[in-house]
Amino acid sequence: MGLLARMRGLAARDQAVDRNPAGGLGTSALAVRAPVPATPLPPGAVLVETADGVGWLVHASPLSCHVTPFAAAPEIGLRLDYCFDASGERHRFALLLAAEAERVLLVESVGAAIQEAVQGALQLGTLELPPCTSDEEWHAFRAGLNELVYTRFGLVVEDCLPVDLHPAVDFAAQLAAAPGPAAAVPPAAASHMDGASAIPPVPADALPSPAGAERPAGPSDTAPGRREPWLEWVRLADMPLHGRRAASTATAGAAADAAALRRLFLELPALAAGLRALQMREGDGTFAPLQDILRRLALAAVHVSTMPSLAHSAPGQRLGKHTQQLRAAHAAAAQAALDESWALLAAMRGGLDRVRLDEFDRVLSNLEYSLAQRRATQP
Amino acid sequence: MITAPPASSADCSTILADGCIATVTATRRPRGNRAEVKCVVPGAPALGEAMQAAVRLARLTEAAYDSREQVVLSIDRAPTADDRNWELAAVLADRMVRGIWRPAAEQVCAAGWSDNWQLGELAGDPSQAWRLLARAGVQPGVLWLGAGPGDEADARWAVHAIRHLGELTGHAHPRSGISSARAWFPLHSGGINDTLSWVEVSIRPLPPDAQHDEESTIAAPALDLGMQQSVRQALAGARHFDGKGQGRWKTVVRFGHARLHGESWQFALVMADRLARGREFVPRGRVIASGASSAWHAGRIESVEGVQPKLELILSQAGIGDRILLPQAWSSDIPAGYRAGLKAKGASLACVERLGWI
Repeated sequence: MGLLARMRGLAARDQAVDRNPAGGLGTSALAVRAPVPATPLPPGAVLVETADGVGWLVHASPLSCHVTPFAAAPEIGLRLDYCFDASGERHRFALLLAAEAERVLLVESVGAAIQEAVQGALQLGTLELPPCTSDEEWHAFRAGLNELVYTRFGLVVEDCLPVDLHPAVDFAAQLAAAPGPAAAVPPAAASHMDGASAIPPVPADALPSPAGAERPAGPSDTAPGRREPWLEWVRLADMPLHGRRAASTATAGAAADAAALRRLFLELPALAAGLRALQMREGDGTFAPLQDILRRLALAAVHVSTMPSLAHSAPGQRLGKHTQQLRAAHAAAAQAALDESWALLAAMRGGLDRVRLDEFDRVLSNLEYSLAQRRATQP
Repeated sequence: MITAPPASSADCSTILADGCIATVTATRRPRGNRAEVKCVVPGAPALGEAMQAAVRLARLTEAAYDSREQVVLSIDRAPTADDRNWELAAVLADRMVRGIWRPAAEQVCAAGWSDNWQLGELAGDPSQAWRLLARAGVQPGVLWLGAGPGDEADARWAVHAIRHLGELTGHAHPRSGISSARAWFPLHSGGINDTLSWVEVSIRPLPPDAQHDEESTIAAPALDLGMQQSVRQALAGARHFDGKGQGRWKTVVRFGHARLHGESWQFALVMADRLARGREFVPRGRVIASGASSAWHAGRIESVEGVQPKLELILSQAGIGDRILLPQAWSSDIPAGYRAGLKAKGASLACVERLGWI
């Protein structure tokens, strides 16, 4: 069963896909695994081979999703029409299938991933959508959005319009249902100044959620009672502090660790290739820093491909649960840095300058730091 | 994308339980495989660890993380074990030294603590802070910040109170049942006293079935009657134009300065309201707006007086991610190079004729 499907809690839908390989293609799924050579293709589908004997049926007509660009403004949405471009370059989308999909790539999870990418880019300032956007700023945003979605997902944005989500999303009702600041405090957390310095473990639910009130359903939401006990062993203050997204996904454990390392293993070389293909201008001082970045990216890729397993410090020697969870958290932080670097690569395709290179240096330093911590056998 | 010029050190003072002023100093240096936050408190290692925990948790609310440098924090007087007012000062000093927050005043004094720094929430004892502040004596030109519920506390303290770290840039608190947002406007009073002042709109939902007169749900305590009326009319008109905000909210409006002349604050008020209701694109920094209208129900923005001094003030005060909104009529008065100057500071400018996203 697909990892993404399981994470979204859509087991029933996935079984339907299993019964009929092409079922749901174009409605609930953007792509499904198919045997190669394929039996007669369903109408509107294209076969993409990600490796020898591994094929995917991909829906090649426009699909639509609603994206909330700002977590703090839930009543504003962007209606995004995107499409897999069957006639154009297929490498990035094939990489997405290989790195992030298991057996089926759901439309819903693609929409959620696009929303996360857009929110992240707006927070970091690689995309700008300020209040009272002027026409020029909107066109600049559209160009940046097209580049971001193409660079990160290999999909082409056909159309994008701001929409008022009001009757469907009611901020007043959301606020009325919010727990309030006091209810969010776990009782033990209030006492961390009692002479000692230890902060009691804060349950995963108390972590800031990536999308404000609209938190995607994850394992911790669907089954809070079944959460493994060791997930609560790590003090929140020890977590890798790579922004809210990394910390909130960091409690997912071994499966998320493996998924993050797979993404890093497959995507870091492609990211370096994307950087190499950037247009350089002579004499603007970007050549040397870019060389340095490429060298460090290659080294990071070596680090990923020689990464030790999560549970062992040496063959036969198991690590403590605490160290394991920290390692998984650092893998999630490294994955967040990878997402940031795709967004930066998209911005750099619009124009390469020293400021963006310095930003890339920051992200790459974070990635190197997380990978080194993922290796560490001592917390 | 534009980062602040690196400051090598920053100070933020706080007030201890015995009424003394203590100063938290933050410096930054290359990380070199060390911890990202180091706290030095001679003779009180437990306090150092608590300070490090508070600062690291507060960093969780920031968008970008930089593992390349280390921030070293120190405090010049050790507070007693049950005194926690230094926590806010440590968090603010950490933000100031990295250029994430740039205070309007030269000196900042802060008092407050939190049990939920990872959510950016702020707690504190406003009455104690006010008492200590009064005893220590307020220096003019020092920005005071403290935690506290703004509505119930002493009105003199209310202008200093923040309830959430996001309020430093006017952003709404994502978790509480109240949504509040701030917007800033230039206050022109004869040159030397020119300053950026803020207006805050806090809203909480009304029961959906209740029938209310829109203007009666808008309260503006501590304002005179004429201004209260003006606030109510502007907000009700703008919500009428929006079409989706009526009859859903109970609203409280607060101003950073009590006595205001003219009506150039109206545009900032309307923008704060739209941000609080989750119906406006959110800037990375603050919204700085100037403009009035005789027809908010049509969403029209009209010109106000004092173009040149306000433009100069905005240029000197703008910071990273700030969004500056001015009336369309001013666009011909904006000098060449003004937009470029703002862009160099990371801010952006738009001249607006009518409310709306685009």
